[in-house]
Amino acid sequence: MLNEISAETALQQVAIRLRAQVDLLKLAAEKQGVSMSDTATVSGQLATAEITASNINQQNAARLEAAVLMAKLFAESAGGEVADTRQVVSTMVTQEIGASTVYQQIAVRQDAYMKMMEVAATAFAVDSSKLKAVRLDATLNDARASTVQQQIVARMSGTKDVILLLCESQLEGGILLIR
Amino acid sequence: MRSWFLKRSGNISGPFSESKLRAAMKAGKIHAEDRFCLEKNGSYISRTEFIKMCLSAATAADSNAADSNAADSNAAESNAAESNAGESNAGAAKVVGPPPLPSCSYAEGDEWLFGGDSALVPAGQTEPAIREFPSAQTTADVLHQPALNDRQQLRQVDAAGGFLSNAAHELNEKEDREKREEVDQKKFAIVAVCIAALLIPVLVFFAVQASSHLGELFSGGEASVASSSSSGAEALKSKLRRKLMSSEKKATLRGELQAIQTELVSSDISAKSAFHQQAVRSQAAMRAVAVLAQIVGVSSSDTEGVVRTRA
Repeated sequence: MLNEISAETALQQVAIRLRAQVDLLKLAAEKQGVSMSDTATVSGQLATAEITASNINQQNAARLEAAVLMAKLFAESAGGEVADTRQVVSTMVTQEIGASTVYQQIAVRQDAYMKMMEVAATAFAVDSSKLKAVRLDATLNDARASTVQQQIVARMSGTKDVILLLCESQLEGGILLIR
Repeated sequence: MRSWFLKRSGNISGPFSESKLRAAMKAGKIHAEDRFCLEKNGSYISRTEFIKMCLSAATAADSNAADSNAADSNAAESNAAESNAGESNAGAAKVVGPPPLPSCSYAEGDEWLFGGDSALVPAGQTEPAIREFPSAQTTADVLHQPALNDRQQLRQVDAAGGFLSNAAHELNEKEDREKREEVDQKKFAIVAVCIAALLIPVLVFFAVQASSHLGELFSGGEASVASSSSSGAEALKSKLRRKLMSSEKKATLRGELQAIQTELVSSDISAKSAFHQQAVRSQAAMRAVAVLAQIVGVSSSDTEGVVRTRA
């Protein structure tokens, strides 16, 4: 019981932080030049999905989808290839079809979120070798996961590592490449 | 009375007596180019010299008559007048010009040689002095001035013409120079305006860009940039903003990234389940996205506001 309450609290924390990421990505995308109507569209879809969500897991799944779409806008505004971002979304939608549970759906969207940030990192001229290393590490952890929850944890770690790598690359040396 | 030969157009005629030549001269039959000589094959003299020689001879004859008859005052006056006329004519021999008018009547016979208005005065009547008439005096002054010969007059005229020509030439050159300078100034002004028209928009554009980004640089990159309808311009501004990020801001963000890694490790150790691990990683990802948003230009207050509200 205690573990369940604790798990519920942990899921709520995940939901809150996912929502915060969506909002932060919205600010970053708008700062990059994305129109507010585009970001508002994603935010509206998220609001609608949250209303229809019956539990915290569905809410997290909706927020993850919004994070993926907002990351798409951010990556494209940074100069990422539209074909790459569309490929990520297409793969996500395809894999969601085979997802039988909301956790599997969250796992698929978490993977799409990580890949979308990889596209953004590529657009920001992050070292490709470092990016491959992060992706390989996430793939290994994903393969080691015995449950979908551990799979989600591995993919969340991969997402976090890509974002940190992106931030570190932008702060290194003080000279950024302008594409 | 001497006899003279007359040479006209190469033909020699004569000899003629002086009285006859005087009568012919009075009648206008003696031309200016006629030459005279006492001998047929001698050296012929001009009409002026002929008249002077005739006067000299007449003066000598009259002087002899005065010596013999001192009462003949008219003859003495005539001699004096002839002496004056001779001096004037001597000057006229050197300077070509109108001979000065005689100031008194001549002796009988001489008046036919020179003619003129004074010749109309009756022999026994003295001509009024010219100085008694101011206008006539002025005329006499002019007439008594040294006359200029043709060459001198031509020189003066040429000099005056040359001066006027030079003055006109200099005036034309000055006008042309002023016109050229005016045209050059206009050309320079046109070129300057064209260059300014080309450079001003470029300079204004760069000044606006620089002021915008420098303002953000001095404010630590937290100054918000006015939204623009052009997404490309916004992207460029964001990239320039990152490029111009201050070192202090970069140090702060690097510290934030290290803190995220450290807290993630410590929190992951205490995580009881996969849900807790997810919570820990979601928190790390959230903070990393906040750093990324600040890197692209979102103010730290905005990102902290989002994190604080959601957390």
